[in-house]
Order: sequence, then structure tokens, then C-alpha cells
Amino acid sequence: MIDDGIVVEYLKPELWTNLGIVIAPFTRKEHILHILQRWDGSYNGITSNHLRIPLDQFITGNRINIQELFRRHCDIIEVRVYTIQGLVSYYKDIQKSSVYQQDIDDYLIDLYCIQEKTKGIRIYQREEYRNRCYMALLKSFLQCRIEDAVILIWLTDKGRLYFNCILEFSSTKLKRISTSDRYSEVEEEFETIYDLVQKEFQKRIITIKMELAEYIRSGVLYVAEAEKRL
Amino acid sequence: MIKFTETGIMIHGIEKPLYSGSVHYWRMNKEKWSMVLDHICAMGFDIIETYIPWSVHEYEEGKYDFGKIDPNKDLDGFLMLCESKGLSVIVRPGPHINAEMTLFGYPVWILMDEEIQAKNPWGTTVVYPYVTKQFPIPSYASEKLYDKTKAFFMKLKPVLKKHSGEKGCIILIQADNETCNFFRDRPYIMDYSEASIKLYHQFLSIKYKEIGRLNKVYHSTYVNFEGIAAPHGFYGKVKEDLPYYFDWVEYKEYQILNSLKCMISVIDSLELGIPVFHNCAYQDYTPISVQRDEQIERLDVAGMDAYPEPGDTVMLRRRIRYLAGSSRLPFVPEFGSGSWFDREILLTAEEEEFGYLYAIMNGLKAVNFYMLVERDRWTGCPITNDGRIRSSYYEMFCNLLGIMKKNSLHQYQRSPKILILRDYDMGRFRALYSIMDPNLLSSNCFIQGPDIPQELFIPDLDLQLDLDDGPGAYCDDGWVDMVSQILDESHYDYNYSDQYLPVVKWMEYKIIIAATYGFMERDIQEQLYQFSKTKGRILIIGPHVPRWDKEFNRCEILETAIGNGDGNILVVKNADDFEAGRLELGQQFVCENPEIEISVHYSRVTPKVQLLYLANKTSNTETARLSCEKHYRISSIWKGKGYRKDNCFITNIPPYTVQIWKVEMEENKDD
Repeated sequence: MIDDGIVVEYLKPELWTNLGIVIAPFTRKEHILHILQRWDGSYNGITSNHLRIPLDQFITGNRINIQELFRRHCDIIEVRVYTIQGLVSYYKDIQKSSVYQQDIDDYLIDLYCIQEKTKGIRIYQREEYRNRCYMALLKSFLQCRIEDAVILIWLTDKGRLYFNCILEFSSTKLKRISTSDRYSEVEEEFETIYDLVQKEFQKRIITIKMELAEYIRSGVLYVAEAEKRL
Repeated sequence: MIKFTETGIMIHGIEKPLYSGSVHYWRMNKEKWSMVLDHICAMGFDIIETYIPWSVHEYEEGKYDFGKIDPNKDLDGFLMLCESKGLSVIVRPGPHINAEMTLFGYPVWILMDEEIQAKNPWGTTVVYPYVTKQFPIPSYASEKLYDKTKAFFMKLKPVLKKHSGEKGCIILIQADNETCNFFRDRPYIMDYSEASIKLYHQFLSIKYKEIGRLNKVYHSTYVNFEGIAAPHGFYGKVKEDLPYYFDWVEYKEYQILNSLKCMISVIDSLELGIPVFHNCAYQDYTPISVQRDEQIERLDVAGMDAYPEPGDTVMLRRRIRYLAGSSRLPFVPEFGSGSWFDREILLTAEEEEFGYLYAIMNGLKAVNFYMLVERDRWTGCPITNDGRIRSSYYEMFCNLLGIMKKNSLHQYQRSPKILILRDYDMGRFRALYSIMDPNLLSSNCFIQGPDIPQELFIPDLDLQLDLDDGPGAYCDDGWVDMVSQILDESHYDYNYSDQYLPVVKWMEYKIIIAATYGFMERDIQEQLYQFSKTKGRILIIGPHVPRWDKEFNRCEILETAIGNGDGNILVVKNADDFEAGRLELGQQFVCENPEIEISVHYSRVTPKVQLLYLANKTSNTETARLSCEKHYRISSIWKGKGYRKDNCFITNIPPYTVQIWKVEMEENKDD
């Protein structure tokens, strides 16, 4: 999806500074518990927000009671259990020379998929949090199968322009990102910009035009629905 | 002749401040160059900086374009235009560029060359997951990389030489860029390539000279250096196992220093006769060392880059005071102006201004604003890529450059009496003390890979040593942070450095506060002890007193001195107990408000004239009530409004604002 020569230009600072808020619905804020099984069989657990979790009470023999961990730690949505050999195998695999043939988005998604398939790494998820990679979500949200089109995202906050983004896809690749700043000589109105985008790119235009609050709601809903589909 | 000075740069006999800004000629339409450069001049700049990316000019292996095919690549034309406008130019030809370029400026055939790639401990490559394309990190040990780089530099030579010398605009050249293993600075991520392991053995043989000496330290029976395998993680059991791992960490530093030496050798072949500098990314800890970079022959200045978050003062204070305490010239070769596109937030002009002035207040002397002109994958600058002006940023720079130059801010200097010496070896220990170091799989906000917290790999051992085992990254030192905070609250000024600062520089301070743990090199213990015995000097150490040297032989130089009451040594085991008030250093201005930071800069020319910087680091308006025992005249030169009442000078400071006041001391009436 992401072309390695992607051009990112004409980003209006007053709009682009809101990028973090705009991608927030797709990013994960909940915590992951990482557990390392060491050579001597002992376990060590730490969360993605760097809290050490004592594991003795959840371990019987060499089994970890994952359900009990989820029950006691409601902020944890995923538990990853690694052996050192599993990690060695994983990091060796995901850095082999063939990975440079992939687009970065596919590589990123694969980092999660390969983790699930690696012997020595076990992933446990809560039922309601099945999606692990935000890039996969973002990719489906942007309907990446679009071959040649422009996506015009136009978000307002109480009627005032908050963020906009022009994403140009060509042969399924995201080739260009810009904002209405590329037409700096005209008024920053949706209809005007839409017409100029149409005139310049000569492609089908898909618009995502809504209030910020609605966007965040629908983004969150989209993520929730995507979780259900998995 | 061109040379760095203590406050800026001397260009053919004229000393000037080093205030510069970045522009990327190849990313602009050539027709816009002149207009853009005019805007830059109008803001008050007379120096610009540009990268010269390898992948741009060698567009296919062996095929070069310097403007014949793509006019925007006309480097010679660009430099001629700069000369016509009276602009000096800093060049940064890499080979590492970054600049948000897809392969960080390296040609694809270079990065895909197996002889050039760094290797992870398990024999495959080391991925950098850049947002537009993942790529394999090259090995700093690869001789082929330098040979290929030299071949590219030789293609640049005619143009660079033409624009150097008396009439040329090129004044400085940078040796490589942020040479820190592409931000993968943990020791066991890389580099296990054949070339790197060869260099590792070379490092060991230089350090120990003969294998018997190494065996004695390692408690081993190696027949030769080549038989030593590099560690993939820490698997020691007792403290005597540590030297083997320390050596790997030190080798990683050696690899970087060696890389810079190789690059300077390549630069020397250009015969430009101009000063060379380097920019460290952000590390004041292993594997980077500003002081040791500057000990490399022909590397004149090592600066550090800075990309603060809005309202940040913690990072800036630490970094700039480290540069002020450690470098020949406190220089930030990349100070964020605008930002890369895959960052969650941009700074406003006001936020940027606060960061710049706060850095100057803390000792910044030279700066290159990165970038002045927007371009592909970068925004938030005073000038757009097509030559428009972004008024808020533009006006901020006009005002900032105006005040900096009009008042010669670079000619004033802080005069801290306290030097805080971080324990570089404790950083090394914290780095090596890891079962393994998985590569990071994230880069900025779009690329978030399944990373694992590093703390998961900290061994669970008792090495019978007094160590810094607090939480945090290996660059952190809780004791130093707490002591610094107490000094800040008392408005005492200080610099940072570490054991690599030449001892002669230690003597510029009255007090050294040194972080010390269970072990410390014999020489450093001895130097600290000698400092404590010097008349009028005080040594404060903590949280532990070293009892071992770095080979883990008993070494209690400081312990013995303390026991004998020999030397002026104060031990602060618990940083919370540190009482800054007992230092009796005296302060010219006293301010009760701990939220206000004060810094006094003294004129090099007129001793009675000082600049008083006041920073409000909070989101509320704060009042500074300043008392001073001496008589003085005070006038605002930047954003100050104040009045005198009850022998105090009072000023209200808006949130995140630096005020600058000019203070002229008068003779006391009683004198």
C-alpha cells in the first residue's frame, strides 16, 4: 500500500498538528503483558507501560493461568509469553533479507502474524480485542484495494476546519499525501478544494467528510466492528 | 582560514556567531531557489546548511547527475547562488543522511550489499523499519562502505573544492550524521558481521596487547584474540564475569569512533581545508561520547541534536548543559524547526521560540535550525517549499535572530561553579546487563511494531556490588536527577559531563558532584581524590563509595581518603538528603519561586554587564521576585516588564516564556 517513493508535501502546520488525534482511534492504548520464560524455567512479567507483574500466584507447575491474569488485571488486553529460543527464532526470521521485498505496511502486519506462528511465542487475547496491528485496521479503513483514486478526508470541529488530508492512490499504492495547502491560493472550503482535487488528479474521489467527534465515534466503532469480524 | 571559536566561527579573520538554517536544494524547484534564499537572508541568516545525498546524485550505480538531467540537483549552481547572496554554507554529504529519505540517503545497491550490511547475533540483517520502507542497517565496520563512500565523495570533490577557500561559500563540513547505529544503540542488537567481529578482535588486541593480559582479567584461557566470541547477551554469574561484557560495550563505542575516523579520512581526501564537525543524535551515554569524539584528530566539534516536545525543559536542560560542560563549542547542529510528517504533534512558533531561548539560557552557543524550508516529508517551517512565507514561524525567526545578533548573546557566558559528573561506566553496566536486546520494530507514530519492554531481559542476579538498579533506561541515573532537581530548586547553576572530560577542565569548577557506585576505574578514583585535595575545591559523591576497580580488584582510594579525613569529600548516600544550601556558593540574584529558572550570563567584553535570563517553565503565569545585594540597573531586552518594590525586582512571566534582561552592576554605595 505505501509506496516507497511516497511524496508527502504541502502539509499545513495548523492542520497537520492534529495528526495524533486523527489516528488515535486506530491506535491501541490498552496494555500488553509480556512474559519471558527463562532458561531455568522461571517467568518474568512486565507490562507495556513498564510495570512489573508478580506471576507466582498465576503459575501452577509450568502453566500460567491466563484467564485469572485477565480477571485480576482488567487493563491488560493481551498476554505474550516468550521463550528465549522463540524470540531468537522470531528476530532471526523477521530480519532475513527477503523482507526487503515487501512494502512497509505489509512488513509491519507480518511482524504480528509471524509472531503468532513462531514456536516458542504464545499470544493470548481477550475476546473483545482481537486486532493486534493498527496498520491492518488503517489499511482496511482506507480501503486499500482502491486501485486509482483520491481519498479526501475533511474533518471539522464545531464547523471549523480541523484537519484535512488528500491521499492519492495509484495502482493500489499510496503515492502522495498532502493537505489543502497545495491549493494555498484559494479559500479553504470543502467544495473548492474538492473541485481542485478532481481537476488535478483526474481520479475518482472518495470523501470522508464529518465532524471530528463523529469521526472519532465512527473510528472507534469501525475498530470495534473490525474486532468482531476477526 | 576558517576555524571554530569558543563562541562561534572565525571566517577569514572575522568572528561571527554560528546561527544557521537548513535548506534542501534538490527538493525544491530550482526556479524557487533564489526567492527562498532571499527569504532566509531577510530573516537575518547569513549561513545555511544542506545535506548532499548520495542516492540523489548517484541515481544508478556509476551514473551521476549534478543537474544535467534534473536541474534541481545542480549543486554547483546552488552554491554559486549562495555565494552571490553572501551566504555561507555548511555541507553534510553523509553518507548517512536520514532527512526522512526512504533509505536515509544511501543508494539501494549499497544497503543491499551483503558485505556492507550489519548483522544481528543470529546472522540475519538488522532492519530499520522506516515509515516508507524498511531497510537493512549498514555496518560501520565495513571497509567496502568507506571505499564506496570515498568514490562518491571524489565525484563531489570538484564542486566542493570550487566553493571552498577564500572566495568559496563552504565553511564547514559534517563527518557522517548521527552515527549511533541508526538509533539502535543497545549493545546486543548488532553488529555481528564478519567485518565487525574482526574489528572487535582488533579492539581487544589494542586494549590488552597480549592475550595473557586479557586472560588474567577475564579469568579465561584463550589462545588468541581471534578465538573470543562476541556476547549475544549477558550470561555472567558473578561480578568477575563483567569485564568481558564491558569490553563488548566499549567495542561498540570504539566501532563508532573508528567509523568517524574513517569518515574524516575520506573528508581529508577532499582537501577542502575547512573545519569538521559531527552531530551526535541524543546520547550523552554509551555508545556516544562528545568528549571522545572531539579527541579524534581533525574532528573539531561534536554537537548534539535537539527536537524538544512542546514546553520541554528537562531534555533541553540536560543536553545543553552536557554540551556546555563537555564540548569545545556547545553546538546543536539540528535544532528542530518544524517536524517530520509522521510525528503526532507540531510545535507552534511560540513553543519553538521558548525551546530555542531556553537552550541559549542553558549555554547553547551555536545552532543550526533544522529546517528553515519545508520539503517532502517535513512541515512547520518559516518558508514553504514553493517559496511562501508562514508568517508565525517567519516573524518568530526574524525577531529571534534580531535579538540574538543585536545583543551579541553569544558573547555572554554562564559561569557555573558546579560540575555534575555522570558515571559513564554505570551507563555501560546498565546497557550490558541484559539477557538479549531485541531490535526495535517501531519508528514514529505510523510504524508501531510488537516491541518488548527492555526491562523484561534484566537478569535477576546479586553481583555483590553497589549498583544503580533503579528503574528506567540505561542512560538514567536517579541519584543525579535528584541532586540536579535540588540544585534547580535552589537556583544553583551547574554543568554536566562525565569521566571523559579532561581533568584540566574539572578545575574550572569549585564543586564536583560525582555519581559513584560500587566500582570505578582506579585512575578516575585517583583524579577525584586529587580534586578533593585541591585548595578551595569540594568533592561530593554518592550514592555509594567505590570499592572495586573495573577489573574488579579491590580499589578503595576514595573510601580510604574519606576514612582518613583526607581531602574535602562529602558523601551523599541518599540524594533526598542533599542540602544545596550548605554549598555556600553565593548567588547574585535570589528568587524564592522554584518554578522560575534563573541564569546569569557574563559579558566577555564588559564584566559589569550581564544578561539575566528568567524562564517560566509552567503553564501558569508566574511572578519572579528577585533580590540582589548589589546595586544594579536593569532593562528588558526580550519580553520583560517589571518594577522595583521593597528592594526587590518583580516581574510577571507568562507561561513557557523566557525573559532576557540586561543588568549593569553599579559600585555599592558603601564601597
